[in-house]
Amino acid sequence: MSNPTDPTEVLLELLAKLPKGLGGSIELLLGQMDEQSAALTRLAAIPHLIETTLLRILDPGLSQETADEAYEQLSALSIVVATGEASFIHDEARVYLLSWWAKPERANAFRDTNRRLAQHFEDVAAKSISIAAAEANRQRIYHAVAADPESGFPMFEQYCREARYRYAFSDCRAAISLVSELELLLSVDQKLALTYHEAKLHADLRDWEGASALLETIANHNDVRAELRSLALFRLGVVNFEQRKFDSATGYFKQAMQMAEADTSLHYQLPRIREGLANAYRELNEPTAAEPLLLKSIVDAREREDVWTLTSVYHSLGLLYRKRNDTKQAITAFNDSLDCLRDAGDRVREAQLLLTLAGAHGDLAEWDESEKYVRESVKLSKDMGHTANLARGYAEIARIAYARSSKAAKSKRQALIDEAVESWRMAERLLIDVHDWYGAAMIKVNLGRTQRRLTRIDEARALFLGAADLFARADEQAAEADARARFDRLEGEAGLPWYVWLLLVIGTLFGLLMVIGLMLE
Amino acid sequence: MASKIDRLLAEFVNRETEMASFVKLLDDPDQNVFAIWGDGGVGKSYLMAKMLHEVSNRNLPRAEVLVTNTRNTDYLSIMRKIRDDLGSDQFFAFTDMVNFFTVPQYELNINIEGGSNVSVLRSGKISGDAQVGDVAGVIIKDVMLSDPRPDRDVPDEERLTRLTDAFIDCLQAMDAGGTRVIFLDAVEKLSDRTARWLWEELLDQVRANELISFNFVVCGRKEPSLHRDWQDAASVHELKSLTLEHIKQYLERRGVPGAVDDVAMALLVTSEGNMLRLATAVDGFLKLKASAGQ
Repeated sequence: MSNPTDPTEVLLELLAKLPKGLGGSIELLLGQMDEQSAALTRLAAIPHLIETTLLRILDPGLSQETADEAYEQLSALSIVVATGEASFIHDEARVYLLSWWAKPERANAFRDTNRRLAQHFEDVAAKSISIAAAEANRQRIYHAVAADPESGFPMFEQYCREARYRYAFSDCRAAISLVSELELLLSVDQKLALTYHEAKLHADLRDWEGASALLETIANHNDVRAELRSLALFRLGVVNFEQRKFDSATGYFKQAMQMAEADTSLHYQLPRIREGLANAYRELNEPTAAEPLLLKSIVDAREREDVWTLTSVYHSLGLLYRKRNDTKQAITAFNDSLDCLRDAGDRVREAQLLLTLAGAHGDLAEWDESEKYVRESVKLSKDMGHTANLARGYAEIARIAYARSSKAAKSKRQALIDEAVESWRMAERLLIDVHDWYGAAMIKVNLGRTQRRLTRIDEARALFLGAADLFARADEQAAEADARARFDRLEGEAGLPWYVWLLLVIGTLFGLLMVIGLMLE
Repeated sequence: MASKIDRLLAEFVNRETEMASFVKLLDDPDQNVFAIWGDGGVGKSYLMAKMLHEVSNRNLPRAEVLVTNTRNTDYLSIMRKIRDDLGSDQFFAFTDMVNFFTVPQYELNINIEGGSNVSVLRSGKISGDAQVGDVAGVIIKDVMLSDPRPDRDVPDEERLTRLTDAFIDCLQAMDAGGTRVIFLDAVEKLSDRTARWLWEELLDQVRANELISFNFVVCGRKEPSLHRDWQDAASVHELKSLTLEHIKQYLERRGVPGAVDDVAMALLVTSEGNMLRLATAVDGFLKLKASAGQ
């Protein structure tokens, strides 16, 4: 080197020695700072934000003045992103710096810093409300896990459970994203548990493929503990069931049941596993295999006074009996489920179950009972603001009214038909309101078929065409083609009713015979 | 002392093609979505800062949404941020709907006129709760809750649909008011669901020419996966690494004269043309020079 003090030459020498990539650039930068500034820059990567308050927690020796100066100096660095709302270290730089902190020789310092940050965010959360409080709470949990995964991770799991219970799925996802950053610190069991929470979230949002992939990872892992594997297998059963893959679902439920039966600590899972397996058997038309599983689950759930499981299992039993055309027994089971639901206070599921009961009574042509349950369901759905349920309620009112019209006296028939048509239209409007194009199209098809039976051909055609457009919007090509075919079939029937055509034909033939007769004379 | 943003703009190099496309987009009524993508540190946020500056120079209203891991950046928070940046007084109907879905015992205040759908919720027929109000006389403040209200049980899908519809109605009402630009940064951090909502619900309105005066800039690490229907509506740009020439320009703008060729070549090797790595290394070099008294 011709001039060892020339900065350019020093730089070239350093660049030649340092590793490529951002780590090399960062080490070059830190190497030119004084010790305290370099240390603070490394510490600044631990929280997600850079603020003067946080700098004083990272380095308790800083005064307000020096913290302000340090903030200005940090903000000027290229690795610090400054937006209108906040400053923070660039993600790429943070990943590098956190990997530096992950070294064992820095573990104590890293732990202590995170403890202080966890306490700070706990204080912030206590003084904040709504979204700000939620954000501070998640950061508290992040730093608590970083400080001590053993005690912090259960806090994270509790947070996820509570968020999912409140249907705050985005909050749950935000917590999972944060804790995922700490994978280097987590044990194998904690990483798998994290994956399980993520899988449950995917399932809650009905992303079955996403849930399946994650659950398979857990179920197939060599080091997964028995409880988690059994839970993952059960969830795989549920996910496959929801996708109507009943054979696969059965397989997973059986594996889960085998594990749970072999381990007394997992017996608590058995009622739900048996129920899942029974439902899969039901869909596979194996009722004799399904029923004993459900009856056993009911006994277990009663022993544990598990109202939620009882609700669900009675409901499944009702569905089984209904599928077997044993409608009276089905109604008994549904009523047992309803009693449990009312104890549990789940009003949306109550509204859904009332519709199921209405349907079952409808199967027996018990229209008064059926209507009673539907009206109750509609009222509940209105109170809850559950539009899809409300639409189903109106569709059921339509079904009842239409069924009654066929047996009604002539004077009342038209009114019932009008009620049916109006209720179907209401259901359709509600479904369109919530962009359920497929549901709305199905209503249109049913209404079209009814209008066709009532020989209202023009109305039927318009409905089938409308249904085809909605199916197209829902990307349901087969259903769209079917609706268009129904429309096409009615093309030739447009205009005069059939009996008018018959009279015309008879009249024409009679006229011809008259003419022929006269000619012969 | 110049602010950091002023400094970044003064040091900005390269990306002339992307800036030219962006400027063209601002004036093109048929193309309203500008997507930039590339590796971490390649300079997406730098480019976005330049675009923000351009928009600011033209006095165009704008909104900025930065997706982070600490925040809950779902569809609701995105719409709230856009609303707050563009002026919440133009979004009372949306805010009313937000409060309806999050605040216990809340009753809708605004009966929205017009629209071809029979909106049972908006007209209050479903619940009997809504009161017809004069929109001009009603001021609605967001209570800023995010959990679904516990005294109702509206499915998440329904909430998403109704809130998005209310939000888009408000945007459409603003559509005649001149160009507005909405920036979304770090979209790779969005959940799959929120990303789907962004492209299939919100931006699709732009693609379908339902929001003519709104331009969206979407910035992320992954190339957006767009249907061919997007061909005319979106301009997609991958940001590539800097070349030696760019690095030389950058060094000059950062005040590194003399021996630029050697330094530029060494920095190219170290940084591999990545803007963040380059800028960080130059930060270090400038500190080295400062401590050498230069």
